[in-house]
Amino acid sequence: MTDSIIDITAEEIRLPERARKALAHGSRVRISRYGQPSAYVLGGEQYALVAPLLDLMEQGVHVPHELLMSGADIALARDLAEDRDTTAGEEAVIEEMLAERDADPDAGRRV
Amino acid sequence: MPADASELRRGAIAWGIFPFAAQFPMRWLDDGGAVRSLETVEDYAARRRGRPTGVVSEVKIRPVLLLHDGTVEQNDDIVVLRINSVRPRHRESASWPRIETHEHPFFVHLPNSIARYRLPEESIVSLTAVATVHKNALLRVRGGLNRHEMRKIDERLIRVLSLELAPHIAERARELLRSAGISA
Repeated sequence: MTDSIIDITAEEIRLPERARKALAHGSRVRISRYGQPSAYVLGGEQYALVAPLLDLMEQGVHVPHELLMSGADIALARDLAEDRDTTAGEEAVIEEMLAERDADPDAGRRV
Repeated sequence: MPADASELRRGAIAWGIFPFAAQFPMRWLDDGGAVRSLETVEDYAARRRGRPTGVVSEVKIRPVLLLHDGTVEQNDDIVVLRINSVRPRHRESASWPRIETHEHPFFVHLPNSIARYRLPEESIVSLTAVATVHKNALLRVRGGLNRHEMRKIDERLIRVLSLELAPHIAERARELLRSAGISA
């Protein structure tokens, strides 16, 4: 287990009931500060799963980036790769570049 | 006329053809030009062996981020990262808060408020979408990232591409020590 961990007692931190229930059911708890995620709390079983990965990273062992991608990251990467939509703004840029070419074949080459 | 090679600088944003990755089932053209389909890469290998094959594939004109200078006209290819416009559904991703605050290791946010990008929409650079494109498939260069932003891209690519930099840095340090007359 990693030695870059500090222990605090349950008395030192007060999690709301819904967070305790979520942890008991294996969910993760995200703590936000001024609207930004500032800390995460995991249950013991879940922490045991990720602790070896954290140990490797702290030791400077290379961890393949795919192992660091969350399910949401992978879904977003796939969505972006398969994105076939074209926005009006994109169409307008292409039209603009073609118009530059029509007006002056070398125009875009000097951008 | 494609973009001028002299404009193809590291950090520039060019608009050009970016391919969707070939995948299976794959439609391909036989020697007579008829469209056929193959289900798996094993089927393909058995059918085509090592022969080049015309396939039915999709491409799209997109903005791409140039990862290195490509000013030598005789050198055909250039390595780029794909840039996507942000759709409303992307903001619903659990990944979005870290992207928007520039904390995400695999996506770089290009806000619409920065004019020098010359992008029509708020956009995302996907650091896992590295591709090689032919220079003659780049239509125009418009806008770009600055050196500071490219340094951030570099830092993240080191992780994505599993670049082992420690030996290189150590050797460079030894060279510097030697040049300073200090034995390493």
